[in-house]
Formats: sequence, structure tokens, C-alpha cells
Amino acid sequence: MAKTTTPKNYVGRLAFDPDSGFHLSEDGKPVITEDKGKSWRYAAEGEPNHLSRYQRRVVVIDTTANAEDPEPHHFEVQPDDPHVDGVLVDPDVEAETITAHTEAWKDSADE
Amino acid sequence: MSEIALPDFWLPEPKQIVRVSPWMPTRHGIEAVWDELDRASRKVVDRFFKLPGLRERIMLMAGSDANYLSTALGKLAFGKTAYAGETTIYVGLWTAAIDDTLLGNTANEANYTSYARLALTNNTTIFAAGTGTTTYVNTWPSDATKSWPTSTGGSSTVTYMGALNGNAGTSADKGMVWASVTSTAIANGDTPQLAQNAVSQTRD
Repeated sequence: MAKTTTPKNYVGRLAFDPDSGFHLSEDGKPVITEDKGKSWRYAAEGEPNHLSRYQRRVVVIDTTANAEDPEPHHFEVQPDDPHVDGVLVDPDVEAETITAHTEAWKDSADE
Repeated sequence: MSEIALPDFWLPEPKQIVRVSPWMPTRHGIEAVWDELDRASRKVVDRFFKLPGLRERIMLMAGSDANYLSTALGKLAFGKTAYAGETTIYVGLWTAAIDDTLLGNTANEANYTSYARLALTNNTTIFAAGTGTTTYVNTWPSDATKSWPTSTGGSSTVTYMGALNGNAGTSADKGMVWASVTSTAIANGDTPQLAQNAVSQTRD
């Protein structure tokens, strides 16, 4: 009569091998869970790995150094900016006549 | 010769100005030099001003060699104390700030169900040599995208990532490097993934 072997349960720290997709026991052997992490056992040959059993979505972990520019207007003129085609000249008639700065410039030019 | 009596007078004692925090740019100060800043610097400054408090602003320098690695490299270079490097580098995720004191038992490591640290073999396939002389930059993982285990329950919102030399989950695991990551919520069924060459280490 053929002998059946039950895979041995595992209790201990887990690491994860991204290449094989299996969790690893402390002695480096692949272990799996069939009850969503309540218990673990050593994997038998040919069994599907953790990712193929449970993966539904991927979320990307990225360093903040790679984050997008949070405020693009700090880096370049945006298309909705009236200055997008160059600097606009906005003459300020009042400022030209009443500010001390403008008058001082005129005075110095007269000298 | 007669003495002249001088009235008592008081000289104020000079008060020394002592800096008790890092230098922080002000908005007006940055405005004055904005045109001189390159794109990368503007990016950092922009993020700096958006952060709510001093701690967060300090942590903006988010990424560094941890104490263990700095010490090992320093001793190797000066004194020739042997440091053979690690066989496996374990990369974990944290839900709160970590820093140079990173150890395997540093609080707030991700704890969603089935979470485990990535075990990365320390070789030049995964950690390829970098480039640059004035500024040396190496990026990893060099060979491929790396996935942490899929969550099979619970959730963790990760904000930091750290690499250690062990996986005991105790202070025996020494921190090597750490970095802040864009806040990422990991829910049931989610597989956190680190893109190829997503981590950039700069030394100058």
C-alpha cells in the first residue's frame, strides 16, 4: 500500500523570497498557508506559491525621492498661466506716478 | 591725587545665541534664492514647506545609512576592522518613521497577515555596482521587481522601508539603510511591490 505523507506544520519567523513567491522558514525552506495565514506548513513539491494563491492587486512601494512634483507651477510656466507665452507688460499708471521709488528714479535721471 | 567716585553702572551680560534645532529655510529666504535652485532642490524645498511639523521636516532628509552600516564601513576604512558584508539583506516595511537607529525590533513594522520581510541575496545581480565618482549612486533591486507577500487579512499603511542584516525580529537584526516611501495602504489581497531600481542610494 502506498504511503502518504502529511507535510509538516511550521511555526516560527517568516521571510519572503520574491523570486519563488514562497515564504521561507527560518531554515530557508518554502512554507505555505492554506488558511490565509492562520497556520503554516512546509510546501510540497509542485504546490502553488503564496502570490498565485492570494494575489488580487499590486500596490507599488516607492521612495519619496521618486515622488512626482507636487506643484508643477513651481518648476515651469503652466499652460493656463497668462504668462505662458512670455512676460506680460502690465503698466501700472498709478504706481508710476505716486510711488517714491519711481519718483526717485526720475529725479536721479534728471541729475 | 583725589579719587573720583564713579556711580554704579550695569553692563548687560551678553546673551549667547545657541542654535537648538537644525537650520530651517524660511519662505522668504527660499523665495530670494529660488532662481538659483535646480529642479531637484526645488522639489525638496517644496515638500519641506508642506510638512506639518519639525519632526516631519527633519525626517524629510528621508533616507540614510543606519548606525550599524555607518560604523562598520567607518571601522573598515580606518583601522581595517573586517566587515565582510551580509549574505542576505532583509527588507521590511514600517507604518511610522524609522531612522538611523533601525533594528529588527523597531516598533511599527507592517503587520498585515502573511507579511514577512523580503529576503534578498546580497550579490551584484540584485545590488549591482553603482556609478559616479564625485557622487556615487547605486540603485536596487537591479534585476527585477520584488514583491512582498500578498496580504491575506488586515491592513497596514506603510510610510518607511528599511533594510536589515537579519530576520529574527529582535535587536539582533541590525539596520543597514532606511528610506521614506510614499504612503501606501496595503489591504487584503494587495501585494506590495518594489519596482526594479526604485531605491537609489547616493553617497558623496
